[in-house]
Amino acid sequence: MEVTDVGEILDPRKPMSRRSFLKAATVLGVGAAGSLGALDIVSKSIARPKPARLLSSYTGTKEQHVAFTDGWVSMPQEAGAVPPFFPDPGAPADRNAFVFGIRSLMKPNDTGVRTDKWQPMTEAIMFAQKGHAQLSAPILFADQGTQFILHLHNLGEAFRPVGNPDNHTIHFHGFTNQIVYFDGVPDNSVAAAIGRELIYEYIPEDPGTYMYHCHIDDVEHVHMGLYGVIFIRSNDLSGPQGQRRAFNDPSTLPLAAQSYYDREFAMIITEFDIHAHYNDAHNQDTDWTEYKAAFRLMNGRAYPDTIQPHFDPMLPNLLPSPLPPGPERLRFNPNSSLIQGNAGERILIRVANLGFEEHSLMLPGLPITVVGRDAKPLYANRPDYGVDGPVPGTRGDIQWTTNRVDLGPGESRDMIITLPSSPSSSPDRYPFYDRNYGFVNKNGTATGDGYGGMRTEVQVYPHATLPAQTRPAGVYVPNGGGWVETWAPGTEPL
Amino acid sequence: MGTGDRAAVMNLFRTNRVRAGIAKWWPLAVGGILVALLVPTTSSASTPAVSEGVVCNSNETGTPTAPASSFVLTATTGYITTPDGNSIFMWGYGIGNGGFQYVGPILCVNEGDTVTITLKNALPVPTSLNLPGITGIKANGSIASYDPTTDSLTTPAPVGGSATYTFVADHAGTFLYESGTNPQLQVLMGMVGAFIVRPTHISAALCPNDPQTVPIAFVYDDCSTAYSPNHEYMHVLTEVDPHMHHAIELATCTNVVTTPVCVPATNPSYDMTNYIARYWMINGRSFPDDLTPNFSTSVPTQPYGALVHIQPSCPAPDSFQGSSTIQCPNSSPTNNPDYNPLDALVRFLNGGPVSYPFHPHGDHDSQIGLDGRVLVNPTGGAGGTSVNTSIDRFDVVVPPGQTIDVTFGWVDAQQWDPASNPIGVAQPQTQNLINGPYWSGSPYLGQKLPLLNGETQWNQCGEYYHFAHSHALFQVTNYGSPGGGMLTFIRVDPPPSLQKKYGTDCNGGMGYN
Repeated sequence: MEVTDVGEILDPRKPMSRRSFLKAATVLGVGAAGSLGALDIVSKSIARPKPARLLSSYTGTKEQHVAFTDGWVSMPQEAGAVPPFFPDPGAPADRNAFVFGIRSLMKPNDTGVRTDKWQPMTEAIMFAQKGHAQLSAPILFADQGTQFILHLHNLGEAFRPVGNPDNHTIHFHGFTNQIVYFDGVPDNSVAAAIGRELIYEYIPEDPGTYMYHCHIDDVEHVHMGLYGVIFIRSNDLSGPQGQRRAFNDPSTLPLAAQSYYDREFAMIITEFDIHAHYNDAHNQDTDWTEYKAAFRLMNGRAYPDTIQPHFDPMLPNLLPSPLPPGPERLRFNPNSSLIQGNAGERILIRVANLGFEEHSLMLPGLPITVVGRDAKPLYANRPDYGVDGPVPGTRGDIQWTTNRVDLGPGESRDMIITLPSSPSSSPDRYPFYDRNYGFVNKNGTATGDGYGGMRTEVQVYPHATLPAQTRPAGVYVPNGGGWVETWAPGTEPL
Repeated sequence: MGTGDRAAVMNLFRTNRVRAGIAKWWPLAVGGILVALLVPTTSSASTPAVSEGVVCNSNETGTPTAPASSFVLTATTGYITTPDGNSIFMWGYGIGNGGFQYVGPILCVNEGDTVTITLKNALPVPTSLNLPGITGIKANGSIASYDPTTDSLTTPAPVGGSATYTFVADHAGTFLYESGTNPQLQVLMGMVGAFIVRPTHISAALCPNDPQTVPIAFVYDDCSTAYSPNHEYMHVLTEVDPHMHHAIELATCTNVVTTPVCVPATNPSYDMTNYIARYWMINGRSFPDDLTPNFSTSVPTQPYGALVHIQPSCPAPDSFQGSSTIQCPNSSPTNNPDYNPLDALVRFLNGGPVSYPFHPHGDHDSQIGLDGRVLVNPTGGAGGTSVNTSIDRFDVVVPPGQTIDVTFGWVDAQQWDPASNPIGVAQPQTQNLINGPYWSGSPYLGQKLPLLNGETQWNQCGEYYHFAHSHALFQVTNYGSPGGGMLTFIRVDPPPSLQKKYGTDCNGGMGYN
């Protein structure tokens, strides 16, 4: 597999010429039948509007497209070198590590109206994302009762050496009562070869925080970056000021035990073994029993990058945004982990762990109430999901309040924090970090002590400073005396 | 085989893990779960011919008059095999005077029983039997206690001798038994097994909300812990560093032929700073060996499979979440053979040195028991009433030494049907898919369609296979090669009506009643 004319084919800013499209198509066909005609695009076959057997609370259909490919991202520039593994000698300027990754193929409508529903990119632009993976995957979400359709486009890889054709799947980790066809385990169902598309359908009944990842050669593909957070939002808007709830808990509960919130943020926490990533970029095999992480990541970034806002890999962006472009270095680490809100607001923090280590997240100074665990609520009289479980109404309150939450690999938590009512500055900053600090040797000229990795912060602004979020995980940045919202790629307006 | 040869072989596996072959596709013998669901056992004649799930061991072999709660375990040596062809020296337990097996024999008693376990020591070192969670143990007639001579956590059996442990099993639950002597070494060498105490103060008659006319069992003395006794499973989670085992094999001169003659070390040890696990196991087997039935002759010293095998639970409600009543009443459809009226039970036991985050696909596990105690707070409810503190988890992190009891069911929530209720998305043509070997060829439960010519298809009757595995994914490898290790399947068979509809036959599994 050889890609010449890389600039033309891979530059997502330019629509491809017919010549380069044909070239890309030939590349994409490797491992399959190998011609333009073999491109099996089934995305035109749109889901029917409503399955025969759906929820009584059916709220519509949400359809999104994602691309699986490889590419180059950036760990913090403050990190010291570990030759030859880091920075990867094959990395382009501004980046230092090879990954597999998932990109959103959705873009805002051409109307220019920020709140209009999004649409898929054109096929030419979709294909041009090959070789432009991002870390971590798009933050996905759907509402309870939605028919959620997710298209997997396997674009193939631009940089991975010959001989490793990678098929891909999507495993919606934790989705209840899944059928195997939509579960994404290749041995037990089907996978998408390079150049192929596979469509998944989810009919979520249970709100909460989940995760998604490829399940092919899972240890490799997950670690290489094919992971993201996905969550199901409750339709319950019965908070005291009409706020949405994380779960469908009754308003008869004590207020502190209820799950309503004013803003929500979501993060996937993982690690990064520089040896494994180097090996995949240089045709070396990895002995996964010697797994040893160098970086600990939140939403694919290590501190201090984590508290940067969201960026758009389609720079100069296709979004109708007045924002100046972010740093080229973080173009393919687009997802922010910054948590922010106004005094007195309730903040929902969704965390999912797809690393291979247990992580103990500390938030000194702000009590956390854990309202959900593995996408199930914990309040008194919470529902039972089993066939023969306890008698209804006898399940007790198992919420807990803490300043430290630990998650094993594959676990998730839904956490509510209430921000202090009178911050002393704009903003007050509360570090939120892994107790295993993820220490990285800094390079010779970097400032600081090298401490970082899995670390972000909660920023508390005075009352009524930040506007309301227009979408989950929306992060505001100052702009000309006002505020402008940045969002993770693919997160449509509500 | 000389030591040099053995080291060379191990080195081969260490370095020659090619991407082709097991890295991509698992060459599981077809016989695995499709043909040999019932095989003759190779253990003692009294072992029931059950192919899946928990198989309790008999009492003292050859002494039929001994009470059911009287056991003999022999601590001895043996070998296990791994799916990548490695052969690993082990220490472990055999039932009665029988040979080594890994993991140890499953010992089951009833709550209230007076239990006697005689430990015979055929190892070259002292050993002892530690039963965390069991109290009041007497060893050789005295209170079992720390032994300073051998630095044992409890009273040991000397080399060539024995020790007899007696206690009353005073509460139901799932317990580990393991070596209490040099446990860092001996437990990792394989000296671990499961001890199950079944409740006696509970019955269906005491639980009007539970099904009354089907086989029913309970994990604890609480109605909320009901499960189907035909679907009781065990997952003993462990790991192996083959280099440590090889070092002990050499130190004890086992299968070592040298000149001059090998002299066994009196106290063989291993530098644990060099410890790195390379294999991860469920019930003593790594994937895909753990899919083969109990007592499979292909893994003669590893008698216990780890396949979980169910059929769907009762029809799904429109929405579980937020509903105030259970949409699928326990009492109905009690006698419908299509549905399990009761959940399956999985008993997790961590016999390893680290936590294992175990992720079931398909549905959540309901964690109902922890370390031999039911998750019910007797006074935690309003007015001091009893409340249930069970936890639904899609990832059951089992810490070292812990036992966790979970129930599991899978509901055919959307009841997809190719004619009346097809899935809502277009399926690519078969040649545009990569088809897995366990794939039925159809999204629809019970329907089996051919794959392409030449493609392997081990699916039997349109059944589903869901993964269940550690999510520390380097543990889902055999010596680093993806697709092995601490991984098993949950097999969901189509109910009889769907087998009839599609003309398939899943016969061969355990009963579904």
